[in-house]
Amino acid sequence: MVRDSKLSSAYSEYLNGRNERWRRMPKGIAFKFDAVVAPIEPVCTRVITTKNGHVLNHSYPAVDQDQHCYQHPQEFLLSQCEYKPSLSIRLEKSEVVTWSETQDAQCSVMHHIHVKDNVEVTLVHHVDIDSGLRVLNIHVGEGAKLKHLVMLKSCADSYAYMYDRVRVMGSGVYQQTHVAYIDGFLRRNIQTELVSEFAQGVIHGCVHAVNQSHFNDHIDIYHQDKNTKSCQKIQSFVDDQASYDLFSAVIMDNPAQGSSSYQRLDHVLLSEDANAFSKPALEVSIDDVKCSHGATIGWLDEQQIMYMNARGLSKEAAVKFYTEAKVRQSLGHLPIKYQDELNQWLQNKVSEDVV
Amino acid sequence: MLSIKKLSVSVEDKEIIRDLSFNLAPGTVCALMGPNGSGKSTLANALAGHPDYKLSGSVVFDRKNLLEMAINERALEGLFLAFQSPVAIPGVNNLVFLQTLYNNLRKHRNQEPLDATDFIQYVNQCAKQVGLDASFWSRGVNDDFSGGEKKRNDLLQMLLMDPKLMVLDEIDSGLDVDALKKVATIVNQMRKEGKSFILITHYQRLLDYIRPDEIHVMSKGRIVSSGDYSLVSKIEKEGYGWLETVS
Ligand SMILES: Nc1ncnc2c1ncn2[C@@H]1O[C@H](COP(=O)(O)OP(=O)(O)O)[C@@H](O)[C@H]1O
Ligand SMILES: [Mg+2]
Repeated sequence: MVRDSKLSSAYSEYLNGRNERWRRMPKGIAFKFDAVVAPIEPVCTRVITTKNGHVLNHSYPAVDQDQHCYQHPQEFLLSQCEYKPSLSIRLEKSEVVTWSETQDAQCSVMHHIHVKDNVEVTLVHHVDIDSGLRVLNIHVGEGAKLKHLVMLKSCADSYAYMYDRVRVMGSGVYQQTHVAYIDGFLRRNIQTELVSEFAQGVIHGCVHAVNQSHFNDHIDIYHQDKNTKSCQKIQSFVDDQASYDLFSAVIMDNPAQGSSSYQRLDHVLLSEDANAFSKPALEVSIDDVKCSHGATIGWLDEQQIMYMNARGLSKEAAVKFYTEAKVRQSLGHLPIKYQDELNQWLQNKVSEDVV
Repeated sequence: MLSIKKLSVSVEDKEIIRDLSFNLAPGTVCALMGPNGSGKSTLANALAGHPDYKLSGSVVFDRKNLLEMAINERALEGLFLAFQSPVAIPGVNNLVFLQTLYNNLRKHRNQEPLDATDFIQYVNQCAKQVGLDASFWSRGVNDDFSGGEKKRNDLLQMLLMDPKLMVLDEIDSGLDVDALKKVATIVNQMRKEGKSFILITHYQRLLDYIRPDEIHVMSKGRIVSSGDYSLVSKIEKEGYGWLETVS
C-alpha cells in the first residue's frame, strides 16, 4: 500500500520533471535519413576496433582509415549536422564477428552493417559511449540471420544519443540481445522494420542503471508485411537516483496481416530514489494479428530478500544473487558461452561501480 | 541450546508477545501449540530475525546473544526457520539457489565449495529424504509449487544447511501422510544427533510420530500452559476453550 502511493508520487514528480529532461536533449536529433550518402568502402573483417568512427585495428589491413573517418567536433549540440557514413561492414559469410566500438568525442558517427542473404552471423558488439551521436544502420538480407550481442556502456557524466535502425528482409531474422550498464545520460532508439514476409525481429535486453543516470529508450518495431513476427523483452534494474524511461511500440499496418508480436517490460527498482517508467504501445490498424504485452514496475520484494537472508545470504549477496538470476533468465535463449560472457560483463561493470 | 528470557516482541507499536521465557536443551523437541493469532509465527519469525519485529528481553542461542546477530548470521550459525508460508521467487532457478545457499554456508565454515556435479549428487540424495526429485531443479524457487511442495523444498534447504536448532512453523499443513512420516524420520534422526526442534503445530498426528519432550501452549502472546505429551490429547479433545480459565 505504502509502496504504491510512493510509486505514484515518484511518477508524478518524474512526469513533471520530464519536460526539463526533454529540453536538455540535443537539438541535432532530427535525422534526415534521405541525406545519408551511400557507404564508401566496405570493410570485410572478423575483428574490428573503432573509435569515434576511426578504424583502429582490424584483421584486414587494406583499409584507408581516413576515408572512413568522420568527425564533427563541437558542432554536434548546436547544429543540424549533415550525417555521412564513417564505416561500413559487410558480413558475407556465416561466422562470428567481434566489434569493439568506443566513442568519447563530440562527433557524429554513422556505421553500416550489411548482412548478405542467407548467411547467419553472430556479431559480438562492445559499445562504450561517452558522448556524441552514433547511428547504426543494419540491413539483414533475405533468409539471413543476425545474432547481435551488445554490451553497452554509457559512461559516467556522459551525454549521448544512439540510433539503431534495422531493416529485415523476407524470412530474415534480427535478434538483438543487449546488456546495458548506464551511468550517464543516454537516449537510444532501436527502430526495427520487418520489411517483407516472414521477417522476424527480436529484442532482448537487460539494463542496469546506476547513480544519477537517465536512460531514455525507444524501441519501435514496424511490421510492414504479412506474417512477420516480433518479440521484445526488457528486464531492468534501476539503482541509486537513476531513472529509466522505456517507450516500446509495435506498429502494424496493412499489409501486416497474420503477424504477431510479444512485448514484456519488467523494471525492478533497487533503491528508494530510483524510478522507472514504461509505455508499451500497440498501434494496430488491421485485424488478423496476434499481439500481447505486459509491463511491471516494482521494488525488490522484501519478503523474497528476507527469505534468502534466512538461508544465510547477506542482504548484498541476496540482491546480487537475485539480479544475476534475472539477468541469466533474460539471456536464457543464448548459447551458454554467450550467456556467461554477457552476464559476466554486466556483473563486472556493476561490481566496479560498488568499489 | 536456546534460552529465552522475558522476551517481548512488537510490531508497529503493537505488542504481540509479552514476557515469554523458556529453555530448550540440545537434542530436545518442543511443540508450540495454541489458537490462531496467539503469536506462534511471530515468535518463530522474531527468532529468525525478521526485520519487522522489535524485540526486548534476552535470547541466548548456542552461547551467543541472538538478538545482536544479523538475520543471515543466525542462519549461518545454525538456526533454521521453515516458514509457515515460504515465498516464491520466480525467475530464480531453484537448483542454483540451493547450490548458492549451500556453498555460502560452506564458505562460512571454511570449506571448499562443491562444484555443480558434486552438488547435484548431494542434493538428489537429500531430496529423496523429503520426497522431491530433479523435476524441481529447473523451476523457479517455490514458483507454482503446491503448498506441500513448498514445505518439502524448505525441508530440503534445512537438510542442506544442517542446522543446530530448527523451528518448523506448521510444517504439517499441506503435507500428505507419507511426507509427514518423512519429516518425523528426519526429526527423530537429527534429535539423536543432538539437534533441537521447535515444532509449531495444531495437530496431534505429527506429534504422534515425533513424541516431543515438552509442550508449550501459547495464548495472546504468552505461554499459558506447559507440560508433557498428555497436554496434546487434552487439546485434541477439548480445543482451546479451557485456556480462558487458566489465564
Ligand atoms: N507484521 C505484522 N503486522 C501487524 N500485525 C501482525 C504482524 N504479524 C503478526 N501480527 C499479528 O500478531 C498476532 C499473532 O500472529 P501470528 O504470530 O501469526 O499467530 P499464530 O502463528 O499463532 O497463528 C495476530 O493477531 C497477527 O494479526
Ligand atoms: Mg502461524
